[in-house]
Amino acid sequence: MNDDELITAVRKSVADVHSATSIEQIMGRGHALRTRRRIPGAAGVLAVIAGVALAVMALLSPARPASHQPAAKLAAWTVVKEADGSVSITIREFRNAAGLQRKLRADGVRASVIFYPTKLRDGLPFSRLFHVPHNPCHPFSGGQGKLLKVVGGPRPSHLGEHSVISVVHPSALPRHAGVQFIATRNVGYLRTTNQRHALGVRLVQANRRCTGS
Amino acid sequence: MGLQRLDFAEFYRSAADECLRTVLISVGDQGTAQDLVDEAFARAWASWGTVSRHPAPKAWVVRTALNASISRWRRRHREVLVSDPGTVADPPANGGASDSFVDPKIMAALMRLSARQRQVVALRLILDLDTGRSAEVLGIAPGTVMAHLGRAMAALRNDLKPERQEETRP
Repeated sequence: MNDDELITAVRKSVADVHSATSIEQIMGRGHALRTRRRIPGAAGVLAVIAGVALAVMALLSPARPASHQPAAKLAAWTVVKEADGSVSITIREFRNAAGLQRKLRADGVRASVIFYPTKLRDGLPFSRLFHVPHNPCHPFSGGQGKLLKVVGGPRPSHLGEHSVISVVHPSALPRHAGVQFIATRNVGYLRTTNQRHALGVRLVQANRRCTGS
Repeated sequence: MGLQRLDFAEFYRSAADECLRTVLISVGDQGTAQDLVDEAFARAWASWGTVSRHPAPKAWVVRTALNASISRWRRRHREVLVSDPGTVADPPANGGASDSFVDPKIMAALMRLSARQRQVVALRLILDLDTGRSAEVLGIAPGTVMAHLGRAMAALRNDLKPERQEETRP
């Protein structure tokens, strides 16, 4: 193989790789960076928040002992509207995403829920979780700075059930923003186990196609 | 502002794939490369007044992407490990397709190079930068770039040479 053939081979090896990110997403993030620069006092705080923009909400707890038999089968998920207007979500199985999405919207949360859109390649970074085919949502153009005000939940070590718990505060949602939950498997940087499942949450641009309104 | 937007959009359209391929060869993971390049382009847009006057904006993006550090702490906190697959419903039947479009044989050969050699190969062969500009991006001497490229090419040529066919006799 001479130099020209080698150069051609290396170029061809990645010729089918194309960026999956839209110009709107890039500009949205760029605007957030500009805004951060203009507010020096808030820079540190915003840096942390931006870092968890694609945060995982909670860890699923370890396997249930084989001897333990639950008295009754619990629903895959439960949504409870609290007196203060917040909405508590308990997810026990990643099942019936459409039903959960309907329930959240009925309780006033502009929401999109996707469970297992596809099996992603092993070892992908978590941020790729949202780059799934046919995802109808785009990141919120105002950035992810308000995410932790909108969605909260107990620390993983406090979870009492084998479940994921989130608390959504619809009143904290910025105008034109919604929340997207995506669960999938086989993402993450750690390559030491085959069983990896992740639930991610982010703010998205609210519209009829993504969040129903 | 409108002109700036058009200008940046045109730059992104023409440079995004090339920058992604360059960083992919440097870091070896498509998802990581996409994250790094996205962040670098966002920073370019945030400072477009300056970056647009740079003699090689693509080189600026790639250098920013390569310099970007993602803290290990954040990586680990973005990830969930589930040890009980029984709590998880069956994935849809259409799952399983890989989203990677990289030639695995050549990528494997590239990954056997040193990180610096891969960066030089990516800048010189994919981004098509000259020796001087590549040296500037990497912060090393032009002679070092040439040395790395020479060694990388020799290693790749050796790694990718066709297997010798056994002569068969009737």
